Amino acid sequence: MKIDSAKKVADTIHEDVDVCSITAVIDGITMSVPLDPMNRHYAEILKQVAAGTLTIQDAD
Amino acid sequence: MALTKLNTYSLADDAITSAKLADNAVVTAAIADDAVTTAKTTVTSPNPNIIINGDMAIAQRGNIYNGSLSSTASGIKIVDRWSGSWGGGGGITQSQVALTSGGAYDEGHRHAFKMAVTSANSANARWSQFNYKVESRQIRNSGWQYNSASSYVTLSFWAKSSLAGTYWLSFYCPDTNTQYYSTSFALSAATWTKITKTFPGGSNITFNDDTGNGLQIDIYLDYGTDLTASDATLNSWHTFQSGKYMTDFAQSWFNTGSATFEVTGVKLEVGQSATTFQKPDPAVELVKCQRYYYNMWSNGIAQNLYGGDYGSYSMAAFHHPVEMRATPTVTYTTNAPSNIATYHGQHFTQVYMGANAKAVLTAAGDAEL
Repeated sequence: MKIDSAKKVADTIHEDVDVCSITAVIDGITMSVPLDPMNRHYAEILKQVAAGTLTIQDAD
Repeated sequence: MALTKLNTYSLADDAITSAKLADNAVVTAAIADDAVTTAKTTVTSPNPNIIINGDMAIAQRGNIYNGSLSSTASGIKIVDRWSGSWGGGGGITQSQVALTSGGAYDEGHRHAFKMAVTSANSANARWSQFNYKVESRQIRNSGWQYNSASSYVTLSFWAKSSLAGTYWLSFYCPDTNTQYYSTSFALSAATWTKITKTFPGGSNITFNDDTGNGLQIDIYLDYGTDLTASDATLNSWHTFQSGKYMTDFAQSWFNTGSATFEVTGVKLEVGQSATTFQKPDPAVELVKCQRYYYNMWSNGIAQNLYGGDYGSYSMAAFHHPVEMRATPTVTYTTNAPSNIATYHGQHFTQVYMGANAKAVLTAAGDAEL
């Protein structure tokens, strides 16, 4: 799984939540990735962040 | 005196064999109630198939990424639930193909999952394989006494390779003890062959009570020598060791230009022998697949989402066809606006867009393992 980029998406609906999802480009396709460790894309993002090979950009 | 009649008492046991009975000689009405016992009517019913889309008939992604039923990308790209994976260089096309003849066709299969070499790869780090993952909870609750060496599951499938040789397959259980079991199978060139392998339980196997990857089934087409070892443990459960997937391949499928490999009719069942592959109801099988992936372009019919205008923002919501395995990744396949915020759920997804965006889009949900 090749992750080209990952960026947080601000939660503008809920007052107590900062981020609602991550927009990532994976295998050349833009995707909205949920913050669910059972989701394989999110799990891979966390794995690559831990390995230091990926940085999640902050939300605008 | 001429003999004109015989009663049953005149006949010795076994005097009338089945060969002496004309077709239709014994009609149902002539058989007394309870005359035929259960022991005389033994019928072996097929076991349920743990594999979803084992006949490779469903390919929801086929028309969404590239408008065809093939892809040059590695991963789950075409056939539902099945990954065609490779690496270490070279190139492969994965595709769903129609069957028109051969042993698999004769068993009733009309589709196969195919991988074809487009750029040969001789690197020692090369690898190529078909891959399927079973949810941990599903195999845990299957009835297999997986910690008992006298309890079995059986994997059966049809395979055809353009290159004759000995290939490999494995079970990998990543929960806790990372148990691994590999075994080989032989194929003649360009000939559909039914492969059947039985696996016992292992005392160190664990399957978590969750929806994660519990049992990974790999069918290996080619692994380079970086990944194989002469002292690899074969045909028994052991702790997985990277670099010791199996012993060396005698042939190199990935380093053979235009080599092909096809698989279909995959069945995993509890028990020590393979039973008939029953063709699944396509509607039921599609719903099973949609627990892991769906797209709104199925059957070529786009379902547009129109964002409702709420003044400061526009919002659209869509329910998934079934509860998904996990919260899905969502891909917007047409006209996705850039200023979009997605609120994910296992049952439905809400999409918030900028004011008056009223975006028109379609979506795909992905909760694959």
